[in-house]
Amino acid sequence: MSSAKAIIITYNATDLGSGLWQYDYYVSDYDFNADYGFQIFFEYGLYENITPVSSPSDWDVIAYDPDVIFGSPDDGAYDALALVDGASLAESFSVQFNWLGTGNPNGQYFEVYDSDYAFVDSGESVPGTAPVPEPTTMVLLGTGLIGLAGYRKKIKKS
Amino acid sequence: MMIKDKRLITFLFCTIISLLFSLPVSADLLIDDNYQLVSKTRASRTEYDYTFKATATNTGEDVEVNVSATLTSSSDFTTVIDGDINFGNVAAESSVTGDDTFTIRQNRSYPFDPSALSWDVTSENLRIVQISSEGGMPGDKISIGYSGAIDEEPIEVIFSGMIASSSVINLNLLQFDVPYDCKSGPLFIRQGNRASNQFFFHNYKLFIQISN
Repeated sequence: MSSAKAIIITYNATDLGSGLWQYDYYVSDYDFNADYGFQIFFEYGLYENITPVSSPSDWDVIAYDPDVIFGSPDDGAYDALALVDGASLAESFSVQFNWLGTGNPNGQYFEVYDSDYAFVDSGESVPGTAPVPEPTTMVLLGTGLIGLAGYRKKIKKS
Repeated sequence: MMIKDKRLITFLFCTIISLLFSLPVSADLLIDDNYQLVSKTRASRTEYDYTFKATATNTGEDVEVNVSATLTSSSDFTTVIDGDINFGNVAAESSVTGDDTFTIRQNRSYPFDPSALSWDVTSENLRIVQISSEGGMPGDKISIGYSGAIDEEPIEVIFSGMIASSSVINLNLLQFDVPYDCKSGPLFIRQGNRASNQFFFHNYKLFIQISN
């Protein structure tokens, strides 16, 4: 049996540039036994090229893209399976993907499943921190600000 | 000699003339692409079972009877769990969505490829499946067992190009009287525009199928 506590999954969304993003998920308030797991769903039309990046060592993770099955759109998923009882939740579960939507990626529907892949619990991931701009964006922003400051100084002098 | 021949004919009529029955593929039938998803259930870590309803369309000018379809897959990642659907009768130039469903199992780690799945659609032609008689002499009763008929629509027996006197005995069985003015000729049954396979009839001799 896994914990009956209400599971919480928070996410940090990081813009890596060129449409590539990364979610870092943090799972809390839940104890996973071996062969239990959770799936976080990636809505059809908003995500593609979903690729796991890292996860705590007690887990096996896979991901698959949204698809159309005989004309019916179906979501993709990030799937994490606990390999041992009390699998570690100390580190983040990280996944990269191409974001096809507008604005920033939002919270996602998730489900917890048991060793028979039967539904146990569900919820919606919640934001942990604000989206982190990519380094190049930061550099551009900083350059712009310095430029603006310089321009202001020049106007003041004249 | 005459009596012996009649017995022989009766025996042969009753025992030998049992025809193989096959379901032909109809060029006028197709399964539409607008499948309706009924349910999705998880089967394993990466596999899901998808159950759909399907619609059969008859583009021809005649009703198609007992339409059925079978789905097959050539993909290692898509398994047909239940690929048989029955649609019943499909009227000319119309569509029927079957109450029946079909189910496929897709490994979601791989993209779904609809071109790896194909339908074999069949319907039942009007067919004579058995003929038996007491002799085959003028005035004798000839029983015709048939299949693929549309319920409650009249069936005619056509013998040597003319409508012969006949009566329906029960479901898929009728009788006709061998006419006095005609001893031989092609024999078939007809329901509307649908004609059955043909036999050549000659009294004293066997019925020989001459067309499918």
